[in-house]
Amino acid sequence: MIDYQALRPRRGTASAVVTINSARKWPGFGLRELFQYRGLLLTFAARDLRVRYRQTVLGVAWILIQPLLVASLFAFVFGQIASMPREPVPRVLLAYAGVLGWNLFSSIVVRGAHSLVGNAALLSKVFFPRELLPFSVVLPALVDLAVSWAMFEVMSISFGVWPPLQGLFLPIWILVVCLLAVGCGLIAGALMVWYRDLVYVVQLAIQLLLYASPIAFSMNSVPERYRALVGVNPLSPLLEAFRWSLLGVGQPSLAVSYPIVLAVVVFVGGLIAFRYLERGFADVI
Amino acid sequence: MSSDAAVRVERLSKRYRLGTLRAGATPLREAISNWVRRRDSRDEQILWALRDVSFELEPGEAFGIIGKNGSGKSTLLKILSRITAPTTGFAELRGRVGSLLEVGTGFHPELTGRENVFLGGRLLGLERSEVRCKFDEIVAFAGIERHIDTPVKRYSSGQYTRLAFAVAAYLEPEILLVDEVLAVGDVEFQQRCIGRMKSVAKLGRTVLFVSHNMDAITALCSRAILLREGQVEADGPAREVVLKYLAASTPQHVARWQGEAGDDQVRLLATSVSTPERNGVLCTDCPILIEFIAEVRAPVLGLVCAVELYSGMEKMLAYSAYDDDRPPPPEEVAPGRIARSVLIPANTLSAGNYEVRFDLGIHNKRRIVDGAGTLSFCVENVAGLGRRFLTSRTHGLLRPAWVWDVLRPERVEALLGVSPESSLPADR
Repeated sequence: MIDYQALRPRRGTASAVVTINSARKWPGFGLRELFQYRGLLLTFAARDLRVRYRQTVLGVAWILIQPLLVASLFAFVFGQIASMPREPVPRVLLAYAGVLGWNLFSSIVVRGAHSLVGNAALLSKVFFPRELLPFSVVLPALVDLAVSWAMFEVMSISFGVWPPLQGLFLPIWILVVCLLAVGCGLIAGALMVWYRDLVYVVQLAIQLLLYASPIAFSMNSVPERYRALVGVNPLSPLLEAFRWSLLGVGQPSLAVSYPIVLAVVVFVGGLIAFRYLERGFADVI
Repeated sequence: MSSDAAVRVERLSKRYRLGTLRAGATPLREAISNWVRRRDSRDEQILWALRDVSFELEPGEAFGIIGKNGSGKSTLLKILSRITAPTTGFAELRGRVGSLLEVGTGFHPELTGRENVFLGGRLLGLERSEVRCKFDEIVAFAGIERHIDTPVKRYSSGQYTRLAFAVAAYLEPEILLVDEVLAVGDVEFQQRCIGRMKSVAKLGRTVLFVSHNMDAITALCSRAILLREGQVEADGPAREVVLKYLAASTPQHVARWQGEAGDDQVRLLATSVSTPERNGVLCTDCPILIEFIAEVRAPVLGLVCAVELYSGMEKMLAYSAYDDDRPPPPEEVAPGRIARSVLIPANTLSAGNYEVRFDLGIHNKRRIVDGAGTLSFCVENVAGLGRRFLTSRTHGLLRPAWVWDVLRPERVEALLGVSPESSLPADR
């Protein structure tokens, strides 16, 4: 039986007016709509998390295994093979802290970049604010971060390094990394809809950036004359800041303001570019 | 122009560049070289999928959009559901829009039915609690109670369709856009969908419905537009627009055959099925005229001229012969031309496909014409019997205008065998 009563429009809910304009006009940021659809952000994030671990044998353990292996490998390569100067804390911890920051950045960028093309069916059939897809990858990335961070603390305490007071600054660095990464994800994702070459561009860029970032070594170990070059990478001061907050090593410098400003610029710029590019998505995807 | 129109569309146009239409994304290399060479836009082929489409809908109106493939119907719905932006023009929609542009839209195959219902609700901009209120109804409509916690990738296409439709139709959209979902699913499901959309419209919500199923359009919609090459060709009451479309687009409504078949004695020359009414569109409520012309070359004793009517499924519905009621013995037919017609009265056939075969032969001896000149035709039901309760061919192949009446009290008494002491009021 159909419940006709329930179908009647609810009183008091003013029906929103949707206006559709031609593609040439600047559509605005659509913040009201983003707010209206905020629930979808969680749904997308929850969907990604569920799907990611549904048919895996080890499930959540993957979040623990990956950074541990990468950090160990980095520590071995830079510490034993490259024989870089000794650091004040065990190198594996240093590398692990770097990997935490790096994973947060790279997973948001890569998943964000692929989030639109990967949901082509959705984009060509349903309306919702398209930004939600690149945004939604942040949450799963933060969940990954939280789990591997807990693992990090266990390890770090077992090495006798207690979490320092500077840890209170960590949310700021996380926020900056997220803004920067989402901005990149928005641009790369929107361009990828138009040009599939971006798949390779993103892959290459992430690979190069991985080697260009001080993940398993601190900036202090970088020879003086190359320091400025490594500093061009906005992740360098950010990873330093991560280590400062997690291990209490290094000294924060003014250099950290560079990624902060850049993150805001990239995020806002990415949002504007995205709003322009998204209007043709359904026609080309 | 009223300001409280539920949907207002003004001079909406959509242009596609051919080549980019379905080719997917361009390689970057090409884009760069185009930009470097500043390619002259004149060598691009341009297709206007929609051109200057305007209309206005009142709340509660059920609106049909019909037209051939590629006439811009789906593009129109895509623009209205904000999936793609128009090239020029403007539209305004009052209220939450629920759209079902293709079956299973937004469903994620790895997620269970339950999770997908909530995802669907989110896509309509609903809160979780709002979805929860409707959840049981959705599951009941889809008839998938037992499979609600199974990933939808394991659903049959029927289950998938039902769930998708239920999500779109039950989650209280103020404007419901539906594109050709009835093509999938069985007849029973189609009728439930139409019933559901009707009740949505009755409650003051606006329904925009694209379909190739003219039966469904006239059953559901009060008004319709006909699109042709992106332009509005007709706008008006659904029945009229549907008839116009059928008259223009389906040539089999005037079925004709011409040729020569038979032997040295009798030859069939031409056959035809047509109707004198409704611009020649064969409808259930208009008479259907079957005609044929044959030539008798040598005298024939006991000539049989008959037609056989088949339903689309090889089932013979009726057999009718000329002069069938005349007593024997058979007369001799002299050489010459014989032209006969047989009229199936209005309100005989149900909507659907039929085939008429011509039987010319000699009684008790042989069949001379067998199969030649066979015509198939399609009967539409756009008005008249069988529309109120939407009984399609599942309810019989014939739809005669049998006479209904209310029994007189004496007759009721006689049939029941007692005097009516019932407290129920008499049937009027």
